[in-house]
Amino acid sequence: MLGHLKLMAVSAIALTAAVQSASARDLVIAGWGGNYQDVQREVYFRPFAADKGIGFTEATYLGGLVEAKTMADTGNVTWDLVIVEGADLQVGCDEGLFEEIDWSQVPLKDELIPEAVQPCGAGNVVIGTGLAYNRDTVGEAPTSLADFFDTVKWPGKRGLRAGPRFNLELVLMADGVAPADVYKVLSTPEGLDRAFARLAPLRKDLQFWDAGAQPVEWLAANNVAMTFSYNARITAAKNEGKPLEFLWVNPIYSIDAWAIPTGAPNRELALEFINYANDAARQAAFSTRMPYGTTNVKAPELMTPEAAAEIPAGANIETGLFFSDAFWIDNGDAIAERWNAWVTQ
Amino acid sequence: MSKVVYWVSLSFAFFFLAAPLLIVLPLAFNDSSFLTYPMEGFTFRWFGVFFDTPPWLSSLANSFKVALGTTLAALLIGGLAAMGVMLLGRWGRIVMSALFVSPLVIPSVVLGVAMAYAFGRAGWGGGYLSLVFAHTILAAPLVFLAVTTSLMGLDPELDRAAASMGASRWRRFHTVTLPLAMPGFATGALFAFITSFDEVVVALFLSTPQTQTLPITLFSSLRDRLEPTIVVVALLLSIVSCLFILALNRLQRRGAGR
Amino acid sequence: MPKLKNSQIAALTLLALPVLVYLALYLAPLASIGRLSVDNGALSQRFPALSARFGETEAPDDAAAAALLTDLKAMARTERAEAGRLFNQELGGMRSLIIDTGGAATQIEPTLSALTAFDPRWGEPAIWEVVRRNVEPITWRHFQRATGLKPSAEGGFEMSPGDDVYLRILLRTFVIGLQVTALTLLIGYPLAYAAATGSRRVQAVVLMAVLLSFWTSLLVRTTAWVVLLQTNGLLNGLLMWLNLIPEPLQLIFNRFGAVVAMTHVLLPFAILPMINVMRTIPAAQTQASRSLGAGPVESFLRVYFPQSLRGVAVGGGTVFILALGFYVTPALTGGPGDQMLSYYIADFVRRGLNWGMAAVLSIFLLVCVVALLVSGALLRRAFGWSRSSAASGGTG
Repeated sequence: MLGHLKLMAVSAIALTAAVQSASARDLVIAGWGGNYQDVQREVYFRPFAADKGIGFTEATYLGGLVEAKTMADTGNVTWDLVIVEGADLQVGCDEGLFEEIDWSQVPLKDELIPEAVQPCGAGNVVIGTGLAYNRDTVGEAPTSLADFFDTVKWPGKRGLRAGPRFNLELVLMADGVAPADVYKVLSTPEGLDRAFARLAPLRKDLQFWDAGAQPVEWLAANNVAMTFSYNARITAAKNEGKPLEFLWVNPIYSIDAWAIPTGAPNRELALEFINYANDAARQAAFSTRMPYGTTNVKAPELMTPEAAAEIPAGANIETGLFFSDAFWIDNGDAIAERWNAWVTQ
Repeated sequence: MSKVVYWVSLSFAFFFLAAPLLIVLPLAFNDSSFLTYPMEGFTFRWFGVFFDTPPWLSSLANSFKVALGTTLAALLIGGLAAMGVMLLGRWGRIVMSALFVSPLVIPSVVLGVAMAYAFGRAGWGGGYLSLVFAHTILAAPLVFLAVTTSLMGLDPELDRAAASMGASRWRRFHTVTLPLAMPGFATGALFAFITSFDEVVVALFLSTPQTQTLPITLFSSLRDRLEPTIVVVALLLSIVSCLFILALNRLQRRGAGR
Repeated sequence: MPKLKNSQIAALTLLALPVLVYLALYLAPLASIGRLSVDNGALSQRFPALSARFGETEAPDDAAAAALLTDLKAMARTERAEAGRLFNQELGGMRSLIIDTGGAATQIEPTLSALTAFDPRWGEPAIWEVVRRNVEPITWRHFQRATGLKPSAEGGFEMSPGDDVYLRILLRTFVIGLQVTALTLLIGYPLAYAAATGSRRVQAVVLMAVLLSFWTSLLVRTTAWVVLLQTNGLLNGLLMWLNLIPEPLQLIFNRFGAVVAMTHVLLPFAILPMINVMRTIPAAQTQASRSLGAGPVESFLRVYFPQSLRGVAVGGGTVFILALGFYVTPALTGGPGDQMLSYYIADFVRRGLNWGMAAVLSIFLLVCVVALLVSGALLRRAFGWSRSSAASGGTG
């Protein structure tokens, strides 16, 4: 009998102990995983935490607003910082899911490109998205986005980011639409039909990725013959000796920004981090290893010419397209619905 | 001829069942960052990576916390349910048993969505509490089944004998019934622990960076990149499963030997 | 008999806590799925005036315009943004329309013409139709979208081509479930047979392998297959080393990968019930049939196999039901055409923030599982099979 009571008492105590959540917690930073987050950790997270004498915990983020919305609805804000895409930043900001940034607390503001200074976010990197391949297995190297669609010359699976964003733009450019006209065409029903029609012959060969590290892995393992991917992940893997290449023809460039979920317990610290991450020298160090573009205008001068040549800027994006957040905020749901229907046909 | 067919199909089936893990798990010791044979040398360095790189170790700790909490809660809930159901009439027994066992057949994604929404609204979202709650519902049916099985195997004569000697119901319960049902509880505890420890889907909906469990970290790493650390985790989880089976085996032998 | 009464009290005392816990942590959340599937509170609560107006008449007139502006004015900026996002799930462009109109609501005169002057889209009946449908507290739009059935002008239902996406996915879920079930039975049968009738050593080895597999984490076994099936992975390496194929095959991210990995994960669930049944088949029967002159194949097919079918049915049914709810394994080993209903449920929560659709698809899945369980029970009755070897263990 006593033993039984003891068991119950122990269980009650253990449960309470398990339930207790940390009261003063580490700075929690959510990033996009893979080598992107590895370099962020070394250039930003670790030194910042060491500077402040605090601990930090990392989370993986796969895009979207689910986590931010859940945090806002339940009041249980588990992240202090998250690096988001422009469209999500704006929607989240409008709905009050992200804290408004007090830019007066960010001394480095004046060194930033204007697109980086947002009401609820601080642009930190410029991402290039385009065609990538494995030069050891691809055979003849592709030279244009149109080659992505040539499954006769290049048989094998094709990797695409899950969902229609980025993909439809790249498809239209592959179909000969000039970058400046892409969103004009995409706004019309005929343009949308055109994009889907161009993609239709590939449907059976597509494989969709959620995490930016996946296309890199897939290319390296030869699971796909070509893929759309983010430029820096490919180049960073290449610099580590993997036989991967990114094609700087008609890339799309977009901005990832740091945002603070509303009610984050460490929001003052998070704001300090935002300033910290916009320092020219640190951005240069980051982009040297992870060649995304910088948002601090002084950063490229601090990089070697070879490193600066790998980032989505200058000649690399001459044939490029600046990703439109506004287009996707308005039309994203309808197009995503059609996309899903098309994928599952 | 029929013998040949039998042995060929048996060998193939056995190979299919056993080989994948036996082939893949040794790669945890491969001195190369590629998951391929032949092995380039023997190393423990990927274990070092596991212990040094967050969030592997903290998620292992989280898994233990959640699994322990779940085991205790499921023992209480499943055990009480099993003992209570034994005292019901035929129909009561059927209906209540169906209720208590039913979480086993509900697809985990459905439970995940339901619990993420309901727990979130109740304000339990995110913490260990919500994970323990969810896993308790997944594990309690197993405790219920284990305890019910051992209670059904009890000799009613023993209880009657104790009653005839004037023992009160409660006294009979904790001196006769409970000790005899103990193996059922122990088995149930093992079931509950392993269920929680290995659970992925519901935890995907409920865990946060602070409470992330080992399977969740493994799942997101699998989508991130294939590195030998993943095989190290697979190996560690397999070892836990082996220990579990050993424990179960001993329990059953003790039960059979009595 | 007073004893009965006592035991009832004892039963109630013992069952009180488990029942309460099940109610709070299990039944209530499941019930909330039903509510979620039709709930439109997030929108209807924001539009009380408009909702009341549409209760009287559905015409988009001056009064409706005034009600709309009243409601928009009463909302906070963030609330308008959320309402706009929800409308946008129905019709592209609604988000900016709601946000812009809401931002200027104080300056717009409460008439339809003023509203249309502010933004000509308010003159389109289609916009008003979307608004009217979405300010009701109960919505069937998720069910309509999931089934592809939309109310037609004639009062019935109609389905336009391409709208049956989720029904197709349901069909695919069944097809994959059947493929996996067939394979597990095919591969599992000889193993179960060996575990039930083989020599002592064979029995021990097979049973140990089955149990180890059963209790090894689903994720670990899926991991093994991900490693094996890579294009530059172990299986292709082996096949090429054996000179069986000239270049690597695509083994992962397709139906092959998904079905093979799921078959492996679910194999023990097919084998264990088969073993249970096979162990009850007396060896003497087969021997008797042999002694009466039947060959080994004939005596197996005519005597042993029919008796083992009960185990096959229980194992197959268990595997099929569990397979229907699979998420993790196909997500890691399949391609986009091999994802099952669970994937889309998770996806709607994860990516779309659309709990309504996730709830409706969850209901689809639940209904299928319950229907299968009931028909399984009926079948068992029809064949007079006793209740034994119930399924247990995790799902994934």
